Amino acid sequence: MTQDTKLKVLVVVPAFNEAANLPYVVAAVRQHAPEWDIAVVDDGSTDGTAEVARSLAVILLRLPVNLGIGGAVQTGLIYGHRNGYDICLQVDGDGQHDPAESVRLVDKLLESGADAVVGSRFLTETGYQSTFARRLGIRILRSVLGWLTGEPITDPTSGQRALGRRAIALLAGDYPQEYPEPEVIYVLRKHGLRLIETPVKMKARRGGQSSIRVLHSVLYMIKVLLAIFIHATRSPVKGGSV
Amino acid sequence: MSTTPLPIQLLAVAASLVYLYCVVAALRRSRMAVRQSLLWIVSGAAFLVTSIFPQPLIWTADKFGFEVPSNAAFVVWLLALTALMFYQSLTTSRQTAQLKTLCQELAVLHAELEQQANK
Repeated sequence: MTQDTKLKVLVVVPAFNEAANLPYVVAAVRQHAPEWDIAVVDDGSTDGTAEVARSLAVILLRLPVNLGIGGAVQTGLIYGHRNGYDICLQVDGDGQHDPAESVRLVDKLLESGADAVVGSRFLTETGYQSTFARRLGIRILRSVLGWLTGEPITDPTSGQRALGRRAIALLAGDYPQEYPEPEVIYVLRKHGLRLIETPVKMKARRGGQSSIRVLHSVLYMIKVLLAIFIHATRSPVKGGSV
Repeated sequence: MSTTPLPIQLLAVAASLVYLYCVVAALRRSRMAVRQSLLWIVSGAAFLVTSIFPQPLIWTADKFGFEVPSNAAFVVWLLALTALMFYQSLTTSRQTAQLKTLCQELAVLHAELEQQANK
């Protein structure tokens, strides 16, 4: 549990048509960390996600149109930044992230003094390990990010993250949009922020896998690598390393 | 040096006039921003002038070694269209970023309003 009671923690829950999962996610967060604020970012849902969020008495950030995961998470960070939160946590609305693990992320952030902590599925081989194609892609991303930033990363696509003030300020202003997870790692390290990993367990999302997914994974890889290389050619944003 | 057959020239003049008419009509009905229109007016005017006086085009084609003047015209148009598409792509990207910011501001503002109402 977090030691400092004055610490302001905001749980950002990006939710696109997650009306069914949302009550479970919010209840789980409250069970493990009742003092944290929860901001549900309704990313243009059409299934009544906003109404469910209202009934749960959380902070509702309702996007009028669907922006995608990057735009949704950034909305939560903008809110967190403007309202003086010390830590922002990303807990996905689909229930893949266990809020009990999020508590450990925050503890890790506080004790290490790092700017960001990423929950990694691969530091210890426990829980859901993803499909073969994805694991292969993750291996390539690991190598590229490790090579570009000069520091190792084991789980570059993990969305389970805790961000400190410096990281919140940076990412509220400039958040990668289309393929955010690996890019965020690159952006944070490029601006001189310290990012570390801690092992977490993750659950599999319900639903089947089709062979088309493999093609999607390949396309995803090409695009995300392109996005990272483009970032590598850019100069850091002004006031980025605050 | 070749000369342009009259029917082709008349067709080109007619086409450029229709082109210019469309631009002016869109502008008059405020369907196109003046900022965006300059490119279309200039290209339409160039099209019209070249249709009436094809000699500069024929001369250019001859000097650069194009087999026929129409090939030179195609190359010029192709380059112009590519540049235009590139510009439009830049505009779309910028507008996507602006829209994203707008949506996010709206969401945050709405949440703050709701919080004030609940106080």
